[in-house]
Amino acid sequence: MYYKFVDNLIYYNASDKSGVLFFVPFTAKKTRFSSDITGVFLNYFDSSSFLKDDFRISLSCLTPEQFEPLWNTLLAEYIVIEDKRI
Amino acid sequence: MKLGELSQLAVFNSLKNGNIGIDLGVVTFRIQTKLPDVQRIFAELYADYTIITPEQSSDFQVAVKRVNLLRRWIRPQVEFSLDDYIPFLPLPRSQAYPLLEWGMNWCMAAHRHNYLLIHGAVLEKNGDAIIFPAPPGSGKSTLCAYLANRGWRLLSDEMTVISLDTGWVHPFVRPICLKNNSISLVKTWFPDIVVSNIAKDTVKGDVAHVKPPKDSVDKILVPAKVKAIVLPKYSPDTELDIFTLTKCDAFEAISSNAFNEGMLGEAGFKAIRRLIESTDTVEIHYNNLAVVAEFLEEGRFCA
Repeated sequence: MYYKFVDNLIYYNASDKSGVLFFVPFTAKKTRFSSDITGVFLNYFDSSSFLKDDFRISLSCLTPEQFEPLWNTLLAEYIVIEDKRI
Repeated sequence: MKLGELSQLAVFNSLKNGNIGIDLGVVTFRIQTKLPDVQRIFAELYADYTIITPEQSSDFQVAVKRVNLLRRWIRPQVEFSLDDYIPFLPLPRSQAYPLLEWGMNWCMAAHRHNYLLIHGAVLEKNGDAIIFPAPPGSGKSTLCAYLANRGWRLLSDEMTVISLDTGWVHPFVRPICLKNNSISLVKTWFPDIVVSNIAKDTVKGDVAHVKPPKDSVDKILVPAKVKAIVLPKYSPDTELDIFTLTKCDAFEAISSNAFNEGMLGEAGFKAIRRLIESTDTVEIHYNNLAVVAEFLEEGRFCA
């Protein structure tokens, strides 16, 4: 199954590196992430599709126990969605 | 023309018929009430405001009146209406004036979505505005009353109104709402200020409203650029402690105090983002208002 970052995602990358807030327009909700890992997210913002395993590998700084809650949050908050084009 | 230039009889008759309104800059209200205490307090607290005539349109047509039937006579109650819509449950008759003020706040918070609206006071000095977002009970209104009578221009004691286009804050100058002990404190500090009667046993405790300084009302059309965000927290054991917030923490603090961020969606998120990036945010714990005023006037908000 392929995934992608949702279109029209808006983010605030705090200038003091205190974190990044993602805003999903159609839910009007925002979610905060650490600046350390969101640098990786930005590589996927061009609507490219990816597999969950590839995404997990790119976040090599996280253990599997850290990755799964992050992944679940990304899905639950509609920041990442299934790419039905594929 | 200012409300205070009319005779008292003219003001009371106009309020009785709903023929008079006031211009608050970002919004206009037309007010109707036959309750003599509300008429008297309104005439006193809004004397410096520009009125709108019956021929001019108003953004909101509001009224405070007695509830009909049994509650007119037995434990009498009053209700607030916007046009013919009654948004709240009635309150005891003795709380009629605060009900008018709270109702006007609700009108703004519920409908004025061409601005970002934040629960917080905002004051300006030397061209720099400071926003004081805070939940009830933080001492915000007492701090606001102190600063407003010590040379700071009051833009609002309750609702910060931010332009979505410019990010500047627009005045929404209204009587300052004081609660409980702060009423007697402020009267002691500033014996010449005009204060309404005290409404007792409201949901916020004892409540009174203070007439805003004339200078602040005269500049009701003058916006200001925000320099800093200060989250106040009254702390009886602390003269002044200052804590710098990270940008992300500041964003979340503003967001949690925003009335209409969700309603505004993307525009609200971007407005808060611009605000946070262009200002510094601190949290202060304090028990000494003079020391707080000195800190604010120094104007240094980043470590």
